[in-house]
Amino acid sequence: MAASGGAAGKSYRQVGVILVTLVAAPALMAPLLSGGDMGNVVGAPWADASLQHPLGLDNLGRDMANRLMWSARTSLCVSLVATLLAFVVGTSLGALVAVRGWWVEKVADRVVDLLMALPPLIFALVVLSIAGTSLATLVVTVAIMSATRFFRVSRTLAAGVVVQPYFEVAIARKERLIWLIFHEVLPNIVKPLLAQSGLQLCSALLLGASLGFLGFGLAPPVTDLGSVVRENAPALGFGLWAPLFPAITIALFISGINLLIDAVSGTRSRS
Amino acid sequence: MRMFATQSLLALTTLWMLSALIFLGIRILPGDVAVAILGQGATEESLAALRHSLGLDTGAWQQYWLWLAQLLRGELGNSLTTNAPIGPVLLGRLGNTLELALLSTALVVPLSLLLGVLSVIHEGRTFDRACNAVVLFLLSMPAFLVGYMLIVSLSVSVDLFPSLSIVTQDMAVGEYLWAMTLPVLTLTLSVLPYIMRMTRGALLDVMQTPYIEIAVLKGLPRWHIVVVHALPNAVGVIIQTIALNVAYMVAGVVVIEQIFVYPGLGQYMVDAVGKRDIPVVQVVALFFGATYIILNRLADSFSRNSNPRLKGEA
Repeated sequence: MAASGGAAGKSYRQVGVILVTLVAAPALMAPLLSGGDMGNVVGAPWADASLQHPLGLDNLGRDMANRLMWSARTSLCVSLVATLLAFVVGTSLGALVAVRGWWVEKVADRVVDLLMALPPLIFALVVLSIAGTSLATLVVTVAIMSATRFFRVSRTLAAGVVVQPYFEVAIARKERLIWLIFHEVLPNIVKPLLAQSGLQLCSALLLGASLGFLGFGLAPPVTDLGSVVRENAPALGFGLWAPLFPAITIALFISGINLLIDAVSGTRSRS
Repeated sequence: MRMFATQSLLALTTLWMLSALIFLGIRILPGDVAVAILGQGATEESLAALRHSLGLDTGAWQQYWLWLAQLLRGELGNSLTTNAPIGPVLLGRLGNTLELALLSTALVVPLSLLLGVLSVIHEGRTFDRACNAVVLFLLSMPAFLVGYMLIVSLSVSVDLFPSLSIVTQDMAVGEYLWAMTLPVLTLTLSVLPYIMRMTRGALLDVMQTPYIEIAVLKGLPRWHIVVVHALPNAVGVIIQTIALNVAYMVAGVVVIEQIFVYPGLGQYMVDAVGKRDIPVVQVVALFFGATYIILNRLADSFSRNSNPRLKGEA
């Protein structure tokens, strides 16, 4: 987008890095920063901000900043693992289908069509209504939805590689399938796939947060950003900002990732 | 016409497979649903009774065909928790959700088209850059943040609109619109950035073509070139984006309905998932899926029909 100018691209990247670090660093260091406690009641519900509690207290009188760090930790973990899983499965299947086809192509196409016929949130709700919420179910559900998108993108990109002369040379050398996928196709499509991964990370985070918000987050004591929004929603009626903090945390992280994607695609189109 | 038939057939096949997936999912997924619903302490009789009412005690396919045949006859089955027929409740909720989606569409389409066209006319200038910043900002916000910020600013600080959208059949039009304002605004703001960005992108693509250069060399004013020369050629992509986003709206309302406690289909589903009322979840999911599939197919056929070079390719 606006990252076409060199200076603008650079400042986009800097702002992006700052925003992502702002959310990810406290989440990463939550056990150190919070002194190990994640659920101690220290005052009245929704008490105002003070020096010890810069964001005030939550619905049960726990430190809000503390809750945010821990919940961001869970949310980021779930979305990162799910995206990674989806990346590996979706991308390699997409590349395989583009290189060889076989029966895998027909089956994968049908399955992906079918999975994409339901909006991700609805799909997740159906699964959770049957399987119940657990860490594994959550990660796998988000990963499946994400993998369908990776499959589509990597397949399209790989189809562009398959017609290149260097790929035909590799075929003529009678390289094995594994070599074709990992040495010829994937290295050449990894850059656009990284941008896609950023987008998928954002949707995974949003999907997880929406589920938490709807009341299907992980069971306490673990908590995620969406659940913290839900728990503190009643505060809004008193004109308090409590549920906005976790929501803003999500927005900061996502805008950071979006800026990074813009910066990366900007530099790529320039070179 | 033949294209239309192919498209419908494709949509129907997908829908049919989706119904099988939703119905049989209960058997594919690991774990015993009956135990999950009733808890570990349930007696063997109550477990057996629940398995029977879920149809888990007979053959999967046999049960599925029975379910599908009933659906096609308009019998949607009974809720597990209230034992009442699903149909009447579902229709009321569906109506509410469609109203919400239609009102938002009526607002978001002209607004995002106008902003998109304006930002292309003023490309690179302050207006365009401001629009881009707003789009980036909105794109990063989860729906509940948009909704809560609207509540804080328009409902709590200034008591303009109600923060809960309770709508009933016998409401006056003015009262009804008043209650709908915040959910409609939230939905509008969460779709606006997508349609606007696509409109801008599609128009800018067309603006690169040689025939636009000729128009520029003729000395036509920029707004005339954008609106009269470029817009007709970008319309396919734009309509496709709109259809995709309306599809998103119908499904994305789930979260927005929850924010405003709006009695729509999404809330019905969320309640059912919470109570593990599986027959309701299955039927509602199928409705969402059907809407999503139809709108996606429509998007596809719009984009084909607006581009003569793609016509005839199925």
